[in-house]
Amino acid sequence: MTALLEVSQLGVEVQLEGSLRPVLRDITFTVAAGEALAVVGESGSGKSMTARAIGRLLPPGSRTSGDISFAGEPVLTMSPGALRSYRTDGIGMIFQDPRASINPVLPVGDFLTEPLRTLRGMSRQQARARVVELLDDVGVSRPEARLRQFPHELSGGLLQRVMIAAVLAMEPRLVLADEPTTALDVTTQSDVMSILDDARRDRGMGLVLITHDLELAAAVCDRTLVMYGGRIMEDQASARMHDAPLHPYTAALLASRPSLTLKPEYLEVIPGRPLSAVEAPHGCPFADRCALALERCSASAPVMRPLHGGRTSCIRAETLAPSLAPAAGGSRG
Amino acid sequence: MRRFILRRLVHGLLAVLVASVVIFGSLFLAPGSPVTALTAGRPVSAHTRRLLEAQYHLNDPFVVQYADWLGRAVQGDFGTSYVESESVSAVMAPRVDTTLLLVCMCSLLILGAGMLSGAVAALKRGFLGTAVVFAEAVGLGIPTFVASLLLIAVFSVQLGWFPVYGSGSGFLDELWHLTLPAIALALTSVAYIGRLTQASVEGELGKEHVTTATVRGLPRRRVIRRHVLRNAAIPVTTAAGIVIAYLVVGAAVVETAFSLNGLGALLVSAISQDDFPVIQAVSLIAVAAFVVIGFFVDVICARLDPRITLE
Amino acid sequence: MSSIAAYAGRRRRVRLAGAGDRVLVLCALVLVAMAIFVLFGSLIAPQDPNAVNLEIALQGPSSAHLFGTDATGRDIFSRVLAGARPSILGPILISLGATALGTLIGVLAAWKRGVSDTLLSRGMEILFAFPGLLLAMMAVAILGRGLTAPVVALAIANTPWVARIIRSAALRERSLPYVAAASVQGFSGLTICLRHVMPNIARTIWAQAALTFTYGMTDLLAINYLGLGVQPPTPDWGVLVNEGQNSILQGAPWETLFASVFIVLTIVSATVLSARLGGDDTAGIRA
Repeated sequence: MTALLEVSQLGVEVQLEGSLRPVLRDITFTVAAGEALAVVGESGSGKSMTARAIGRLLPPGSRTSGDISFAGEPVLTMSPGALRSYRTDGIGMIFQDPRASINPVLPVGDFLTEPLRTLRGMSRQQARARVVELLDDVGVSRPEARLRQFPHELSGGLLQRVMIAAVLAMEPRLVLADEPTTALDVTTQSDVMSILDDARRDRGMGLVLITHDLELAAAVCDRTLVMYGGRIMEDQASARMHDAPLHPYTAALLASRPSLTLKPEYLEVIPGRPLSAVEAPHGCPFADRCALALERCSASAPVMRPLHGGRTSCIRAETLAPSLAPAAGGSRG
Repeated sequence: MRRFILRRLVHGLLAVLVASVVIFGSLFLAPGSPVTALTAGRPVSAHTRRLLEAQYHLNDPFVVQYADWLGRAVQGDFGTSYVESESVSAVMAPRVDTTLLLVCMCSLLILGAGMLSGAVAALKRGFLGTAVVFAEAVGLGIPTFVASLLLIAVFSVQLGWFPVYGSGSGFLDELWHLTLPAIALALTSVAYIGRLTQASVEGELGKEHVTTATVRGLPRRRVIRRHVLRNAAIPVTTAAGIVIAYLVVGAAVVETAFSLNGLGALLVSAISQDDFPVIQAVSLIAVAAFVVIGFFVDVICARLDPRITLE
Repeated sequence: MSSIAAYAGRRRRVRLAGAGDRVLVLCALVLVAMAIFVLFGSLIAPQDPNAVNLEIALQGPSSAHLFGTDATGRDIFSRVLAGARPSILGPILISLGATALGTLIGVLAAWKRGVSDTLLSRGMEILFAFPGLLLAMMAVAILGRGLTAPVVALAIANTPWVARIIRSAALRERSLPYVAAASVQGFSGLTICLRHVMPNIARTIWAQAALTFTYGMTDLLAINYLGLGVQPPTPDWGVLVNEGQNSILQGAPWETLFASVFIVLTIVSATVLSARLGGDDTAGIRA
């Protein structure tokens, strides 16, 4: 499969309290056409920032290094015209809070049809018809009536479906979904997620799903990227990752999930608190919380390298890999 | 939407009613009898006193006097001036268009210059933006009467570009005469609305729905026009409405400074002379104007932002 | 339990101003100078503010008369200094009154909510329909000229503005988890209010006090200018601006000019201070 999105050695620094601080370091990965990639991490890991970088939505005053290319075109240095068509035809973004993402004072129909009318040159009727079709596809009842309603009249779940419909309307080649179901209640979550998954498979669109939920990542995406402290820890096929993680951090995350079947004495936790990307030290950001860390882990910057069909940034991966699998007791073994 | 308009209408009428009670009632409380004002303090016979009291209904109970006054006020009859001895309406009539023209010119200035400078300051950083911010800070600090006199000193006396006093005759001449007063009256408000617009636009620029519109590939101009400015206009419109409604009273200062023959100047002189019917009439008109403008502003804002109709 | 107590009522420290903030320092200095004039103006004044001397009328600034002389030969500099007290004291009283009353009403409305809140808010709404200047003028019509009527009226007129902002601030504080936590611990409403909520909205209150001072000053001096408040020969700055008006036509704008400068300096300094206290840069915004 050809690479649709190629991120290579991406580094991002943002303005924080008057100085530039790094929030992403050495981010390298690819997404092939039609492939689904999950980016998993805790708060502060930099996963949202990665999505924003891809959409070129970084805060003013930020500095980037490295490259992002989409279908061969460099994204970070695109001209405004190329950028607009990249955003129109290339990517579509779904944000976490649909209520904040839709203009509250205009009707929902306006939100949905605006790009079709302005960027695809459709007439009002054509756009409306198309949009009604899409709303139907994503399971919104009474689509014509919805067009006249305002965002505050719709529930969160309904609004997120509207957002998905809006993204599908432009038929992008890659969809970036930043925690699309986090703000919704659990039942709605699975509904919305399956709608998104079905829709993109039907249309052959690629997907980058940002989430903190490992299970969701495994259920929906072919591959999972694990991020921590602004760096990538591991990149592997989702199914294999759950059986054979290539990084102590992943193993620790997997081990700390409460099981529905077993009832242990204590819940596994990772000691300490998640490091924000801004605070990350020079070496491996997980080093001071890792039970398996050695001196040399903090000494030098981790470098991603291939291993067992995936990629890992742990210096000790080869030695540790066999013992990281959950069945063998995980990081506490 | 219709229910909203109805509610606002009822609200407004209630407000005017309560205000009218306050206006009528407060002057009722004034120490000293209106007879003293009528007779300019000269001693009068008991007979004359009784006649005056009957003529002006001064002995009727409060509610009766109030109802009487309000009933006639609604029809445009505000009674007779204590000082001029002609009807209050006759005293006010020639002054209405001066004040009206002044307030209109002022409103245009406030809306135009205020909103424009605020939007510019928010959208264009750099020298222009900073210059506007500075000008606004200064503008906010100059009270209207100070501005009036500074303008007179510089533009009328020193440079001779504008006449010093009077309202002129003929439409264009009036415009010329009212230019400085309009600027003086508008100054603080232009700065205020400008600052408010700037803050509102800046706030809107940072909102998530603007980011979404941008990332969908919509042209920048369209995003600014339809999603930033339109949304930012809502709180600014409300404030502009209040500011304009207050102009009617603020005009008093400017009209006095520039010796204009308007309702504001009338109010001031009426107070100096204890001419209660005039004071009551002009105050009532000022409050009514405020409520009416407020009502229209509310409706406009509800059109811009349908969430307002929810309360 | 102890961790909740530690979290409860934590005063949020916000940076007041950057150490090198020259503008703020300048404004503070101006206000300090004004305070000195208020207290000692008549004493510092080089000459008797009321000393009439027609021979030296309408002179420009000179070494003997820093700001020149007015139409009756009085020293403008002395009059301006002596005028600080009547010009500033009134607005301070207005600010105190409006802030105290407005804070009381705002906090009460935010705390009690329900019927009390609706009643208070409706009451404030009615007051909004009366511009400060109008209420002050009506007060003068009822009670006669002088300082009392306009000051009381302006304090009342500014109250709803303060009340509304304090009410929003108090509502926001109230919805924070630490209030519920304290309540569950058994603290009474009054205690929570005084010991926890008030200190956290203190900066907003101070900012409103400073802002009300500027609005009060603008309106009160306008009243004085119109001849409805303080009467000549008291050298209140509004009165000075009025007195100097005719002199402008005769080419001697000094009285009006210098009084105006002092007025503007005071108002701008107080506005900047209010903005910094409020911790935001919407200076002078009353929305």
